[in-house]
Amino acid sequence: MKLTKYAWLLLVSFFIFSCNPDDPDPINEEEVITRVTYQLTPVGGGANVNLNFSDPDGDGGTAPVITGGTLAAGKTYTGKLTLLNEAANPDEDITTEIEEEGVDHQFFFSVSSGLDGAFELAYTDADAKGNPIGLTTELTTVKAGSGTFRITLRHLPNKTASGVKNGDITNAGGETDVEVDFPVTVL
Amino acid sequence: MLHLRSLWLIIFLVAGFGLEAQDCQLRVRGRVDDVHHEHGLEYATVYLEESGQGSQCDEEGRFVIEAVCAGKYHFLVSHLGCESKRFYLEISGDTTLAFSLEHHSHMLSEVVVSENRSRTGVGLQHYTIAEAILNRQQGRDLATIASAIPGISVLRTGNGLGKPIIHGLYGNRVQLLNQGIPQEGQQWGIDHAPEIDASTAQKISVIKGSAAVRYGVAAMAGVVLLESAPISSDPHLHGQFSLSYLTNRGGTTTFQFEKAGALARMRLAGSTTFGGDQHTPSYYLTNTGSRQAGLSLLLTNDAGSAFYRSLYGSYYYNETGILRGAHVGNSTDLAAAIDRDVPFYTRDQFTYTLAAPRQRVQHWMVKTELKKQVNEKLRLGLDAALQLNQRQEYDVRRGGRDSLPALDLSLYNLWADLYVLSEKKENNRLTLGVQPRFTHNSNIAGTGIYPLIPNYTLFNPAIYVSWLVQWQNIDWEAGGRMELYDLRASFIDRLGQLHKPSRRNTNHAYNVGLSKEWGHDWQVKSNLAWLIRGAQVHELYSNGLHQGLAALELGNEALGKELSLKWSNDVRWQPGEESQLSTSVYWHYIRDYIYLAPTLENRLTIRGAFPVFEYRQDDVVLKGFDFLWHQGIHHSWEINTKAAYVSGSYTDGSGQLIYMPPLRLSTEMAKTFEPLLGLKDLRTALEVQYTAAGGQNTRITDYAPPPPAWMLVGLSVSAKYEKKKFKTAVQLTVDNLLNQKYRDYLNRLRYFADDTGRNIRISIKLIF
Repeated sequence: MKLTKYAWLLLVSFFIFSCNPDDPDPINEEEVITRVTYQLTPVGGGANVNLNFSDPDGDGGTAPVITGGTLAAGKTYTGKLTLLNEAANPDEDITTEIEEEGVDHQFFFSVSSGLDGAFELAYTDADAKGNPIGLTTELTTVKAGSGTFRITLRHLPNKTASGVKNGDITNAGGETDVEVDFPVTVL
Repeated sequence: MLHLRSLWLIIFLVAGFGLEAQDCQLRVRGRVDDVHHEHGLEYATVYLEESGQGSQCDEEGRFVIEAVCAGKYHFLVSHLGCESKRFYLEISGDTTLAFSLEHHSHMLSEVVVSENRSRTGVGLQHYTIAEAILNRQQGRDLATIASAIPGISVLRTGNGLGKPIIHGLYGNRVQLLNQGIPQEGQQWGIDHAPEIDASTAQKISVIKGSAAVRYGVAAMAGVVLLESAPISSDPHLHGQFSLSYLTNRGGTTTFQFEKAGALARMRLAGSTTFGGDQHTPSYYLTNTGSRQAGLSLLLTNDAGSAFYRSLYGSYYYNETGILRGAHVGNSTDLAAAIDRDVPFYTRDQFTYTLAAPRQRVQHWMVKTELKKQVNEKLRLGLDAALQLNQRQEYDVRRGGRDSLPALDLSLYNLWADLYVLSEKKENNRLTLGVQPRFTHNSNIAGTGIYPLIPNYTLFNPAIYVSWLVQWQNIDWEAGGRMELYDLRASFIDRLGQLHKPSRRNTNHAYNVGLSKEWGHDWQVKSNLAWLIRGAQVHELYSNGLHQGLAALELGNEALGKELSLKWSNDVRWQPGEESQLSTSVYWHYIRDYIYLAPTLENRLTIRGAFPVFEYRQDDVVLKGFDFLWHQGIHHSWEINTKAAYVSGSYTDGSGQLIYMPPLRLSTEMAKTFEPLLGLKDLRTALEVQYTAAGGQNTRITDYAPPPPAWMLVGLSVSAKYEKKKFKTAVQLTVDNLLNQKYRDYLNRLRYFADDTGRNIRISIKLIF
């Protein structure tokens, strides 16, 4: 009978298709940032201060390692941000990617109450449209304090919104690509 | 005037007197009856399309057409307020015809409570959406159309993507049956709409109760069915074509052609939708456009009626944008986005542009259905289908990677149902079946992101039995099902290590149902269903960031089985010809209910902190009722009232479940006018819909407080114009007439933006 023939055909096809799932190919996470370093070089000489956030295994897994720093009051530092993807092989320098897409990125810097007024920060770079990116900065310590220093990287912010050019994140919008906190003391 | 919107015409050729056919001297006469009330339908009309001859029935439903030429004719039988039906007959002598119009007594203007003729589910009521609603909702997604039935709500991600919720449950607890085949796609995702073009179905219905014995454990809460109407034996090409335009979205076109040939009957149906940014009462919802296309072909052949064969193929394409301002980087961004009145990235002009975030879905299906009546008592059947599903989701990414999918899944599924149906007597039926099922899911490499769900294969064969018997004037049914769940997964963790977990368990489903009628006035149906379901792949192994809500979702390999007991009851009462009440009351207990719950942990990453959600189990109970009341007044006015309420809570008293549909009430007042200027079925309706505030006393804290209650007003005007072979139907519908600003608790985008404002829809349909 025809129906039995169909049924056999079907049963056989199940065995052809069945068995095991495909093993996934190794995943090359391209957009990941695993290390953020904020290098502060004192103007007029002195030892560098490096603020460092490192999470080599990305989201989840082991907790990130955070290194804070101590700054001297009444001094000017030049700040330089470096971002790395150490999950790629060889390490990928994300800093250049951000520089190339400067119009689509901006760093913002903020402090917790313990550091209120402890230093002033100014952007010293600009994107193709003349708006700041924040890869290089100038930091001037004013008075002593201790607290949390936050660096945020926004992707596709609205740089023309009120206050954004001056480093106010409130109206910036965009997605956060980096948001890291460092314990910082100004002595 | 009767409201016979989808009446069934059964025709009996009573006698054909073999008088020598003298050309054009033949007489065709007969009667148009209403089967249920056993009286003729007064003033029905019978019209011969080829010759233009016709007759109006007298008060007894009788008609006579004189001087008819011998030949083949299309008979158009219509009745005031009814959908006209066409029959194709050959007239070779004087003929007496009896058109028996079955006035479906269980009918409401919007929702038809139809008698269940399927092989199982005696204790479950089928609620079918009336053709008028299908017309009015053309171009909308399946879930929105199904929500015309009380007890069905929609879980949305914006206005383009909706998942049906039946009695508080959705996703892998609601089965979608497309042409009798369990739809297989990526239904685990809260923002994954069913991959179905609703306009390719002629009939959409819902079963609000567990039908798991027949359709598998995914039918725990209920079933949404999309079906094809039988293709008529008419050898001429017939069909329809429609065009609609929505001021707050875009346009939709649909077409349908059918024809019966010597070998097979054929129906080709398709649709396309093109939509741009939607609009709230005060701003555009940037990036909420969509593109959709569907095509299906059905071939049937029932040579000699003892052996029925059909072949069905369909393709579906959908690309939908997700509100740009809903894309957030971490929980700080989420808080900022929720705080804003107008979402970030809102543009102040309309565009059709689709950018990231967006999703693209394609679905193919090929299906065959064979039925063989071996003898009077035995029938054999085989349904088999192959489905292929592809889903790509695009996120806003750095370095020009927007055009690279962030999630890229390809799935295929083989399903078959081989059954024997033995009918000893009428109302004593035994069905035995085997359902092999195989699913293969792969992540396509190259996304540069760790996939949310692993590659897997699932072998999921089942056997089932169901027995239907009449005893003590009650229809009883008992059934059972056993299902093997053999899952093998494969994924790589962040340290590059390959994992290949596998899991095997057995799912069970059992049910007892009954149905009792008292005359035509009362009907009671009750169904008790018990089922055991093992944890599914996404509940066990999902691992990753759910970008839309900035949450890390983690599977839980320690999950055990879930036990569900659902008792559903349907009562229909028809006190008079013009009124009908229909209600469902249910109680659903789930032990070890598996769901996604926030943990107290916030995971620190380089992008900031993310809340962590993990699948866990708790005992819950859902209970509620739905209600539908149709009241006609003097055959020209009608009032349709609907209500739906569900409460879901933890049995330990720790609070309510999150995302339960809020109480909803709606009432529609409609008037049908006498034919005017050649316009038939001129109907205007005003609908008021009230939705209470939801999400009260939930145990899980929501991201944002639930929105307040809201009320919407809708208006619709429809009419038909018939001339010879063509019928034209026009519709004007206004949703959210008052341009009310509101947010829907069940719409995920409510965290970021208001819902859509006034939407005027104009559509025209040509039927030939």
